[in-house]
Amino acid sequence: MSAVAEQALWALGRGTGVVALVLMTISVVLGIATRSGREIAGWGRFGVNEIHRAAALMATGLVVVHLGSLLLDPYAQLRWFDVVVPFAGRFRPVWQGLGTLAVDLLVVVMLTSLLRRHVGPRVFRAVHWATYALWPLVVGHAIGNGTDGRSWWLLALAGVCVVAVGSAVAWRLLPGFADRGHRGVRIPRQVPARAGRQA
Amino acid sequence: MPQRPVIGGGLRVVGSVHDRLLAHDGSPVLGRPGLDELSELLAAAALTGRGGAGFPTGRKLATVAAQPRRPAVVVNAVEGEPLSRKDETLIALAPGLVRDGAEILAGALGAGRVVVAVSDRMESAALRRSIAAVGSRAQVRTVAGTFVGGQETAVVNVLNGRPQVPSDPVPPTWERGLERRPTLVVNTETAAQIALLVRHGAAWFRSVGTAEDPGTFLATVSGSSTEVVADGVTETPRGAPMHQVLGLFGLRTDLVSGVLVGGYHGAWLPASALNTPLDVAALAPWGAAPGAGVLHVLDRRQCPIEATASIAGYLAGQSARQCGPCLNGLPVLAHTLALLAGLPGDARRSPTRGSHDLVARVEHLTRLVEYRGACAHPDGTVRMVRSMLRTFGAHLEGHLAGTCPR
Amino acid sequence: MSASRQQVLHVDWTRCDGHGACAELLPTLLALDPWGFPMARGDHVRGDPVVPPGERAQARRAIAACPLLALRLLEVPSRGPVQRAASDAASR
Repeated sequence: MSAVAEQALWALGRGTGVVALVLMTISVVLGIATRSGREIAGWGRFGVNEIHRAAALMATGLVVVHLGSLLLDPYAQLRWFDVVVPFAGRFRPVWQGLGTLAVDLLVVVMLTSLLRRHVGPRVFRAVHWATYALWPLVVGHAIGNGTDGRSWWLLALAGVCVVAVGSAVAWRLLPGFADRGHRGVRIPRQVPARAGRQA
Repeated sequence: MPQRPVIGGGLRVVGSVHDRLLAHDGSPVLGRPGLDELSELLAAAALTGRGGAGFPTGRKLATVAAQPRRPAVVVNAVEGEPLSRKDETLIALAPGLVRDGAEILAGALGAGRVVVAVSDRMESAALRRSIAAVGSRAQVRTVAGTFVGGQETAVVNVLNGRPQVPSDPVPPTWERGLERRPTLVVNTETAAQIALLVRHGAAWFRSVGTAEDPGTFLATVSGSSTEVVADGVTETPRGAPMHQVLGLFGLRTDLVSGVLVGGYHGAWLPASALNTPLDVAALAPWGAAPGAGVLHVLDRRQCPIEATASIAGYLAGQSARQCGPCLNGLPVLAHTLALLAGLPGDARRSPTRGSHDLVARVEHLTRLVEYRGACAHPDGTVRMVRSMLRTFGAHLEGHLAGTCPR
Repeated sequence: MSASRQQVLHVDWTRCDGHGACAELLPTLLALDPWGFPMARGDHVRGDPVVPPGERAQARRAIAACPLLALRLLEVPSRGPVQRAASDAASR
């Protein structure tokens, strides 16, 4: 393989990795927003959920490219075995192992999500909790494994992602979170269905 | 009149000439009709369920029989309604009939599993003995006797190892129930009636009751008319006038303000309607039905608004807490009713301003919760509340004007 | 689709937790009650709104959008108990 091709693959591998991190951060934050059942200016509850899923799907696609390019790139020393089995790699095995674990979790989460009508809501939700483990693994992998790991821009980006998810999780843990803004509601005189159907 | 032994907790069983279930001599019913024969028998007798819904039993049987898998039979003796004690009575006094009814249904369906579900409030020793005595394969399972826990899907769920709360009616139990089999769930009394029906035939069954609503049923009578407190079970033909049944317990119809027919999910009838025959057609105009045979008498000294508010409070507390409209709506409904009941004593509130609001809010809340739940708990609550608004309208006016005409 | 049957949007109330995306996608069929739970606007069968043929595609989107998988399309007989909307009852 030519040096140019090697460099291109390496760049592709890193690039897709970084973008996947950002998209997964967006997905986690919007996943929490979906759970909150609140509308987000203009998107609505449906929209929030749709973007959450779109971000997750795009991130998954990018992870596939990330793995593909790194498998082809001799510098990465990535084997098929390392894609599934963690901590056995030749290049920074521990940090890479985090990535492998993340891929394992990602596969299970995405499969159960795409097939949620078949696995049922309980299995779907139970597995979805794993995203709270998945995301930190991705961040750790990005910082530790990537050769840009110590560069200021990646650390800054990771910092932004951590703040975003941290705030969302803090919001998630607030007592009024699950009320969906309906707490203390007074019963209106009219049934909501009356709007638009005048007697 | 002939009296039977006290069951437990002071429950009286009052006998009469109409006794069939309660007069059973204990001899096993040996007939085991095939599916077609049993279906014809049920159709000819026009037997309807004695568990509350009053659905034609023959049709229920046919629906389960039409399913591809080997079905199961569940006799529901959980009796979650606190005002009803007839299933408890049957389990104690005529367990053989219940057993035989279950076996008859299982035999006709070729069922792979037969279970009698009893509540932990009941004495089931007699039932277990009667099952062992004939080597029946019916199994007795003891489950919690909670209000919504006696609902058909809740019983099937707990028998399947899940929490004893109702589940979505889709798919229905007749399609997928106990052990994922098509399941025929029948009330204790329905099973017992089936046993007697097999022994004596449809003509015999129809020889009492009305033409459209034949046979007997077990009524549980409770409440009081001043000094007389009733708590008992009696067997009566369908169509018997209500005051006659109440009179068996010494209740004076001139000393009551109304009767709750059908239990906490039933409907209120005023004192003036106490001569109403206890059959489907006669009770229908009141929004009531014989149901599971509960007749709860409201003492003349008791306020029906207060009684309704108290029952609504109980029902709100009994929510399985699964479904949003029920969990959120019933407590607000109960609270609003409590405000209505408390109006006469509430000196701070001006009698006319804001109080009609309360009635409108009650009506509004009933529309909000009705039909919006996995089971009929909100619907039954709404039925009972609306019947109070209709039946005790004059009394309500008194409350709105600041006095309780009690 | 035979003339004697119609489709309703069935809510599994044991799953629904008032997320509300369904009402956003089907504003003609659903409103939200004071606690955020979907409520039938027009004709309904025991609380499940009747879905006219023109709304069926949108109903399927709503079903897919429910994060709790609480919705499904059910076919029911047309001669069954169809109730008028609660708002209609209020105006009588």
